[in-house]
Amino acid sequence: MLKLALIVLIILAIFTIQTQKMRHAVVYLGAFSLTISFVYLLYNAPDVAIAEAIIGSTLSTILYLVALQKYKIFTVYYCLSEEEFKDQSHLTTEHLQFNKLLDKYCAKQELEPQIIYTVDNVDTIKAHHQYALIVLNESSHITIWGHPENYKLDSIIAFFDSEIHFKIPIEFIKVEEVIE
Amino acid sequence: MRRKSIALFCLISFVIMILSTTVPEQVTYDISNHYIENAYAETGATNVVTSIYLVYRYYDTLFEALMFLFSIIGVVYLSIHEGDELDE
Amino acid sequence: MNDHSDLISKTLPITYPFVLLFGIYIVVNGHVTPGGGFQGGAVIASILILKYLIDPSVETSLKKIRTIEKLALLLIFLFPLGFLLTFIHLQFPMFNCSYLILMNLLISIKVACGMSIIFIRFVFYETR
Repeated sequence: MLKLALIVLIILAIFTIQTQKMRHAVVYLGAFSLTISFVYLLYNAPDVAIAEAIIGSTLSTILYLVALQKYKIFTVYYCLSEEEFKDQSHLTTEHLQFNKLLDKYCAKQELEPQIIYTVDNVDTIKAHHQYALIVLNESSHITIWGHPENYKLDSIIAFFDSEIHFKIPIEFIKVEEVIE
Repeated sequence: MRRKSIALFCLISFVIMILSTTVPEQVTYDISNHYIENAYAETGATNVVTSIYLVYRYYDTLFEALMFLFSIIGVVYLSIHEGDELDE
Repeated sequence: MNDHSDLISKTLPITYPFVLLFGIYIVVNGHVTPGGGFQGGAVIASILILKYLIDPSVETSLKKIRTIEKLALLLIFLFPLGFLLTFIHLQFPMFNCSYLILMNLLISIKVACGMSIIFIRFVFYETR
């Protein structure tokens, strides 16, 4: 019985390491916690088994799932001028193409894009809201602001560099961190 | 390349350490036998684990509780952002 | 997690009294059966985590939990100082049982409050 449980432990650990998606790894870790709690019981340590079952299975798994969920949402603020905001059929083809590229990027990285159309200017958004990207659509090019600690910014830059069909030049500005 | 050499070094030193530890034949566990035999008579608890962490080694429990408080202080401090009411 | 699951939000309010009872049972019988303060405290803390599973958008106020936890820590410090470290427990062995139960209860209160503070603080406040 003990040997069987130990072999199951090793199998679960190997599954955890080589899986591609994060959610599957979290579920495997939860099953691992449950099995090792059973192994503690077989080693005549019931107090440790209770504590491991509670903390490893319940608390730790929920914390991981909440953390994964929080990083999934990708907020893009889109700055428009007043007349464009009121009449949204004015959206140009570049705008739609940009939207489609953004959706493609988010689908590749398993993120959920959340696009907010706003009339505020860039500084108010930087000061008051939590953003991942701020996009400003000017006549000749598109300016994108991003925080340098957002590790997705580099992959977005690489993604847009590799898209050769998108003709409009994009300028990326990295926002400096303001420490008060 | 560097990572692999570090991993190999750790593995070899682990194997060497395992092979070079010797356990003496006659190990006297006087104090653990004393705890197991006298726990019920001295403390009135059938569960030996409870009697150890509440009576015989109470200092460890005390500082464990204190360390727990420190970890809570750390978590609360590191998750304060501007705009929060600092009393929460 | 935009729409709440009906199954969870309707069954968990029925089952949480049993979880609470089970947790208190583990704590109070800590000196006879396996268990004790730390384990029972973790079981009771999981109830407050369940509250997050039911409705993830409700914010709970942490002020009361923090005062309870500080009070429990103070009692954990003071109470056995008078009982154990002055060696009164050798002269009055009849109070041993109640000392064990009281200490287990205090430790479980502290652990439950602490874990729920860590969880709530992480989940509700980490986004900003």
